[in-house]
Amino acid sequence: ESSALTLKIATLSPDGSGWMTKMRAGAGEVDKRTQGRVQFKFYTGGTMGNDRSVLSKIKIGQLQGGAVTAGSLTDFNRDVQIYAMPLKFKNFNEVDAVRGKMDSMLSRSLEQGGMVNFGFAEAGFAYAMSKTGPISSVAELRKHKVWIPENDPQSAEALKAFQVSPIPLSLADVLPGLQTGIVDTVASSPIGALALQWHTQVRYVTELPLSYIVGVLAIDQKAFAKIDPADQAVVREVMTRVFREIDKQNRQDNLAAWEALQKQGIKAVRPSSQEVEEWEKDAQIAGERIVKAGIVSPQVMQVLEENLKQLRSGRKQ
Amino acid sequence: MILMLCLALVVFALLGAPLFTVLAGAAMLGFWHDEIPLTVMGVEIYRIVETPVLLALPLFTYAGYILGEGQTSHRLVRLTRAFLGWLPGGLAIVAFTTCAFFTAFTGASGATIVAMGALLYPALRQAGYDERFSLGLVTTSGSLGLLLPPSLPLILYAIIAQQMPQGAGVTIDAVFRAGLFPALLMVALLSLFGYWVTKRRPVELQPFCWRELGRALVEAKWELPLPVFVLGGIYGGVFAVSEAAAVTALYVTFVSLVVYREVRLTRLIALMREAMVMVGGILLILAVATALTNWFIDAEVPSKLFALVKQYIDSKWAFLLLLNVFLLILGCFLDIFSALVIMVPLLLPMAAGFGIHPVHLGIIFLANMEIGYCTPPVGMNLMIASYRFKKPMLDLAASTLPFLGVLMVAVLIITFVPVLSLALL
Amino acid sequence: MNVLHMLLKALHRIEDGILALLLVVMIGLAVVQIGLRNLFDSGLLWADSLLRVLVLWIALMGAIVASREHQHISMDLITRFLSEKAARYVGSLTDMFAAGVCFLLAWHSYDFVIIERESASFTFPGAPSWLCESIMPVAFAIMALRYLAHGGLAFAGARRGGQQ
Ligand code: NA
Ligand code: NA
Repeated sequence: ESSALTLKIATLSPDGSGWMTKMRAGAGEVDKRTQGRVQFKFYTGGTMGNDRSVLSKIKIGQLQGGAVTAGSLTDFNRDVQIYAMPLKFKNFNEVDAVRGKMDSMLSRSLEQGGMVNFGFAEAGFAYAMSKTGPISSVAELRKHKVWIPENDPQSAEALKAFQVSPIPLSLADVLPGLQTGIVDTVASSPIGALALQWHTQVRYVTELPLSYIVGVLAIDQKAFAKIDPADQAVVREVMTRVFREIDKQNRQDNLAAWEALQKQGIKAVRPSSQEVEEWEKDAQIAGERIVKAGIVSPQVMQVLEENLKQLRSGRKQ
Repeated sequence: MILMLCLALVVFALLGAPLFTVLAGAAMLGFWHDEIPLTVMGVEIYRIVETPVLLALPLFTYAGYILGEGQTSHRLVRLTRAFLGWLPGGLAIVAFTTCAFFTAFTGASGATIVAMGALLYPALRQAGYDERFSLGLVTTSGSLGLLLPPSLPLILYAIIAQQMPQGAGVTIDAVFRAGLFPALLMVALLSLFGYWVTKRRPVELQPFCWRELGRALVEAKWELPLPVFVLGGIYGGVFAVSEAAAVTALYVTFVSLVVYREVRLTRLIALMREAMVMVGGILLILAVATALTNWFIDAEVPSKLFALVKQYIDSKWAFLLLLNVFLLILGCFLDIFSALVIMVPLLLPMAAGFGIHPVHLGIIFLANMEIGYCTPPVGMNLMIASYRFKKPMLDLAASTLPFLGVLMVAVLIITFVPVLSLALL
Repeated sequence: MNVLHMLLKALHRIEDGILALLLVVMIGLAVVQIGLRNLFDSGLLWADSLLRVLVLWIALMGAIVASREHQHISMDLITRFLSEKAARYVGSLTDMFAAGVCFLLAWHSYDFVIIERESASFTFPGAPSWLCESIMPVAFAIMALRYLAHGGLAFAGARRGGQQ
């Protein structure tokens, strides 16, 4: 008897991407199972503006949610960007183990901050990609014109620790920036590099995961509360499953994208173990700076470190 | 009720209410009808801050106002004349070429006709061209660089197109490349026309002279680096568009204030004010039009409109022809900036539906609007020329007719030969 | 009347001054940023954000000045065929309409600024978003008042029979 409710969701990712196809399928299922009482309407490709504008529009009630990177939801809970801490994870095994322990806690914190969500989906590891020369060491990185996203205090602190003076550009300006040489080094997941056409410009990619990025479908709690509880359960069930699928799919897509990058002639650069140690030493300093600046909480940072320590000592035994 | 309010908005627009209030009114009406909080207007207007390349707009406009004030136009004409003045139809060709270049430096912000018109008109008359031809030529030339980088309408088209899902690939770089051949085509056709007129009624030519060329080059030595900044900087990979604009603005200020001393400090501040008033007007319209576009997308207006048009037109070529007619009429009533912000969001999805490349659409749009600069009742070139030469607007409009005919041919070629626009992409 | 006149004139000069100052800061900052980028491979982290906020401020300050003397772009296809008196009545009507729209824009952008103030987000370090946005309600309020005054004067002029 309750009337139909439409959840308007905005995202930067383009229509037709694997991510969107799965979300639309999920929305279709919700529509069917709630007999049309809950509907999703998606605004793709950034037509509602960047993540900042999307969040403003959620606050004022034009939109009910957004599919955004975790880093843009720090207004609701600063710790959702904990996985993006520099050089925390060495490989996907570590990611999977740590996420198994921390995902539900972060998801709950985000709910408490006012954003209903259905878990996290992997966007991938960000790697340093360079146009002008291979970057195997931190010293080499310092010689490059490194892009940094605007309004990203976490990356800013990290690059300060690496003693790099980065060049801030908005996402839309990165491709022309690479073309014109305003920047020559970017960090991106393999999928991202292909989707944004950055792969047409860069020639080297450093085989060292700099940070780990996740995406979230965040829905305003007030809007979600208007849905009938039974229907809420349906939305949660379906979208949680969809997000798990996207999570898996993106892992495959990123591996395929990595292969595609190699096929395009982009050279993989592997730092020596001594160079990796240097990277990690600076990353440690960066982590301390980020905590000190209050960008993430010391408690959650400690949980992450504990998890990693356990994992690594467990493997050595 | 809603229909009545829409009608009221149209009436207010026709009665001369500021266009930004009409667009803002329309957007608010739409959001209110869909029960979306009007606070969204604040969010949408603030999206100006999301678009980094808009920085180029105030900077190029300011540079254009400064260049228009000094003797730059004089030096450019002398130089072009030394190069091309000996050709049959020479002075006409000189006029077209200089105007195209000058407009390109000043971002096609209306400065050309002010700076060039008053200079070229007496020169043309002196060389023996009749009054009607000279007036028509000067009035038409005022917008000739519209398709050349870094023209502001080109930049604006890219910005507006990027907001639509169908226009995601329309980069500033792409439109800059796309405009090159169409602009050359227009200049070439007009020059041919000038040559033909001169052949029928011979006028005195300026013989080629190395010494004059040398002197003209020396005299214009401070202007010569400008194309290097603007074009070399952008294409050569040294600057981004907004950076090229900043360098141009600083350089032009330095040269006119310190080197030539053609602009005094007090006048400089007045020019800043004038330029920024124009920029404010354009950006405010852009901002509220973004809000209206957002409502269009929310209410799925473009796809509904496409479905409607599709019922009557099914071929791409018929659509293109109708598009030209429509844009020509639109150009009579709307200035280029308003036309861009209102119509591109509606036309782009439709054109994409007919398989027209979004960059090609932009070039077609601007080429048509270029003619609109000279058509009554609203035509920026006509207004400025009428003010400058103290001639009634209708007389001027009549004098531009043969030139507009030539431009119309160019527009048709540009429309139906997409490769002209797309070859360099 | 004379004092009011002087006050208005002072206000206009202040507006003009702010507008020119914003432009000078914009050019200066943009050029410094280019210098840092090309000569030292670095840049001020906050400069690009500030530049884009400056574009908004210049746009709205320019719009305020434009509303002073009806310099905003409009279509005006009909009034040229009307008698002077009728044109003034029509003018006062469109001014009142413009004032109404500007008032609504001021009201709702104020609402936006208040919401942003509660969330304490930053456009760039040291610049809270609400502060960067605060020009919007102020500018639209000033424009609303201007159009109200224009409309009132035009109406009074029309009542007096179309003579200035
Ligand atoms: Na944008
Ligand atoms: Na016109």
